[in-house]
Amino acid sequence: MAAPSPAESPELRPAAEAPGARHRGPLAAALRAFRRDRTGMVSLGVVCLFALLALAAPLLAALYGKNATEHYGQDTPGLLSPEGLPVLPNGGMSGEHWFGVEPGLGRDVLAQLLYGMRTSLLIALASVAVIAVIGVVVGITVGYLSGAVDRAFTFVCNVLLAFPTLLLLLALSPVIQTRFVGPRENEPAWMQFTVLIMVFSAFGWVPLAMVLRTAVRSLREREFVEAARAVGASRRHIVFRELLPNVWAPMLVHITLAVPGIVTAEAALSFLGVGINEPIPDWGRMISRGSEVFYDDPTYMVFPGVAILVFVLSFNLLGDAVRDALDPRTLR
Amino acid sequence: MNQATAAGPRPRGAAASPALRVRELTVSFDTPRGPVPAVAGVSFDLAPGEVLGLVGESGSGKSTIGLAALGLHDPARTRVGGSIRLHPAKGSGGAQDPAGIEVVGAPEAVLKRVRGARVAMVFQDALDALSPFHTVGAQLAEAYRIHHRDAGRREARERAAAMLERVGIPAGRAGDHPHQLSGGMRQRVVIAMALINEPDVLIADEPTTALDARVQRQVLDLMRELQAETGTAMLLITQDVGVVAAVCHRMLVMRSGRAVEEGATDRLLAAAGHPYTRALVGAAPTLRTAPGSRLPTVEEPDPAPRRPAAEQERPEPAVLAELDGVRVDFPGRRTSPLRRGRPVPAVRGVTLQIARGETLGLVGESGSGKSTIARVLAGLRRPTAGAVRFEGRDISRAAVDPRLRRELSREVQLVFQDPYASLNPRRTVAEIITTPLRIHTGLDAAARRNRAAELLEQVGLSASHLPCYPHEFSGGQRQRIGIARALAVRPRLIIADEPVSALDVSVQAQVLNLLMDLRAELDLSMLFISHDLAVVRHFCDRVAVLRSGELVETGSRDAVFNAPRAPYTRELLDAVL
Repeated sequence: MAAPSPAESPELRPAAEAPGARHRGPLAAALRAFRRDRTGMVSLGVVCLFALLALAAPLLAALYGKNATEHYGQDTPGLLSPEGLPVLPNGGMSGEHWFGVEPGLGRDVLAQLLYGMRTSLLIALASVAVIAVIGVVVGITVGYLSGAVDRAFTFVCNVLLAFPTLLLLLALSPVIQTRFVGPRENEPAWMQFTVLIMVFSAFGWVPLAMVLRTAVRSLREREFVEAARAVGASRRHIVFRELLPNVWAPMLVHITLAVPGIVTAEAALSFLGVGINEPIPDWGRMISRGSEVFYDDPTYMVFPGVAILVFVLSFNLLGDAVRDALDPRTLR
Repeated sequence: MNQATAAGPRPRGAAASPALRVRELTVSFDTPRGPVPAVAGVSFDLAPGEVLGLVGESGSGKSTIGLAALGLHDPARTRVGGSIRLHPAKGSGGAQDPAGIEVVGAPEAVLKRVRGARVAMVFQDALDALSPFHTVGAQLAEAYRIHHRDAGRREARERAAAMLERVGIPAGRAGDHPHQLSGGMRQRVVIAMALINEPDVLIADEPTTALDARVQRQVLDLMRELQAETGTAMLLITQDVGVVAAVCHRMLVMRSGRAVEEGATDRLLAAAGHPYTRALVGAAPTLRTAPGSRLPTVEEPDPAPRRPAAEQERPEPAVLAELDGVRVDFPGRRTSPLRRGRPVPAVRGVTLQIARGETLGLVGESGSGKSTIARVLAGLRRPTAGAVRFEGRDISRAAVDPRLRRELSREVQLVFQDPYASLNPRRTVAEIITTPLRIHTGLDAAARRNRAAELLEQVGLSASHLPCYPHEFSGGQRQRIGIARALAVRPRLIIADEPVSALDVSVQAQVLNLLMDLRAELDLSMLFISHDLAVVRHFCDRVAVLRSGELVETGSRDAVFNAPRAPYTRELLDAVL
């Protein structure tokens, strides 16, 4: 039997370059590449900080001593003028209310920001979870099956992409309001959330599924799929064990880039008044209110605006870093 | 076939003033892990009218030298040192500098004048080298006008048409787009484009590797003819010693970025001084190699002759697998969503038998239906008509019947051509090799792992490779993993679809040696598919020749190679370099 040939053994790369990290899978290699990316690490840190703040919002609010719904400005004299504007400079910033108070209702801005972040993140993450599941299942299946299924899928995708999503959302909100909610009651919070998540997912899975379909179609032509068929593997084995591990990269990239999109879309909807209603704190609605009082109290607009900007920017940078790390060229 | 006389007479006055003088050339690529040297201190001269073969395995730095001569390396990521000096021929005008033009470190403006006019390049893949949106005539005319500013459109067009005629393409096809031409014609167009400005030096980087043997022969003949006629010096980059023997006056053998040996082709082929050259020359079987002998490899330049055990008499040559009048049609292009396209026949009525313990070689050019037959026999594709039998059992429905295919895959396994594509990059070697065991045997995880380790030892790797991923291996090692996977369930028939054509010659020799060892040891039957007649002759007991989906000739190895009956077989044999 031929012994391991000396000419080939030096080509066994990991032994030569990284004895400590042998047998790294492609994902582990991507992780290493990611860790070397300074922008990526910083943006990951910012994203984690945001997530942590959102998770710990009740705790932080308790330590801070304010909540997001109480009308401090109206209850405490000296905070708001009779016109409803903060008395103190810079939107009423003080040792008591660090980021000032809301004009009109007089709620605490910092507490609202913290809770608003929960709203954004909850909707974004829930939608992305649904999008990921639908997109992966549909994309991989269609890509593997092709034929008539593929033509049907392409048609459905084209229809969904042709839908004016924003107009649909604008129209949907009053419909739900009149159809499912009594005339005298408010739309319950869970319903507002569910509607938004459902609409975002209903349209959001299409791009992901199309990306994965294309990826799987090219993977399917690779010989390893045929090799799996040749050893007698079942269709399920091929889809879940051979194909799925190969589409993690496009999936991760798509998902990290989808989150900021949903956050901005949600803020835009709330700004237009069809997103999340009072009294649930929300960044988009804060900006909407800020635009109303911008001349008298510009500070109120700054905080939610900067928060969204930083959040979306860091998520986008994170997505870029993830894509770079997973790029096959950096993987060699 | 007659190697020694293939190259023409050496040009006169070769040593006087070289067309291309390379001195101490070093090229290194910058990577995140620091510079990686690709070429380290290579020097050679290329005389006017001379053909120099640059031979070496992949990664030896031969293409890097070719790119450096044109100054095509990206200066941001590549460091080029040493000197590459061009000495234009007297008549070609331009450069009055008697010292020639230095390419290394030359500004882009100088390089632009050099590229295409003084030094031209022929790439391996003609389809990539031509623009798909322009006609070949327009591309040729443009190549001419770039370096002849004062030439009118009409003149350029006439010149392009003349050049096309010169490379054997009717001028009437100047209006065709590249995809309308065959692979060989495309390569001719690329050659015409390289020669249209009468360069002093032509660099051909694996110009015929992607072509079938017969077309390769034609293109090489054409290149030699044109080269002799125009007196252009040619640097031919290849890993095929046969091509060098046919075309080159001198050869330079490269290994890991260094020149190993340089000399006249005849001398190096007959009596090379360096063992690496000897191994490289001997590793590729030719039509004169003793069939079934161990091939020399770089590690083992002088292998011990094989025990003649393989020659033992077989008691009963019972039929193991057979194709009976098999016809395969591919669905054609749909003209409308409702109507099916006209079916395209890939295999038309092939009848073949593989006896127990026998190796049948299936030979044919690309598109002849070889791989389709392999897939039909492996139960991956359903034949349109005809019967496929394994041990007398009809298996033609295996492609649509998962149970039948599972049963069949226990007996029949495939080894694929491309060791890079046939292993899933996201699964470890252990997972890859144990997959068939998990499907077909009741072994528990530990037993599967033991068997996988055993298989790796059997194919010349070691158990410590189990947790590795495919990207950590070289091409030859990957092909060994593919072989281990195919052997895992102890199949009776192995279908090897071009198992060595993607590998370097010396690795090819290793894998062929391994397959021959395994065949003897495990008493395997094999269907060995290849376009390389020499390899088939070396490896197979019987040979079937396929042409556009039809069998042209079937017979024992000696009958087919010594006394071919079909004219097509003779043509193929004549094309072998």
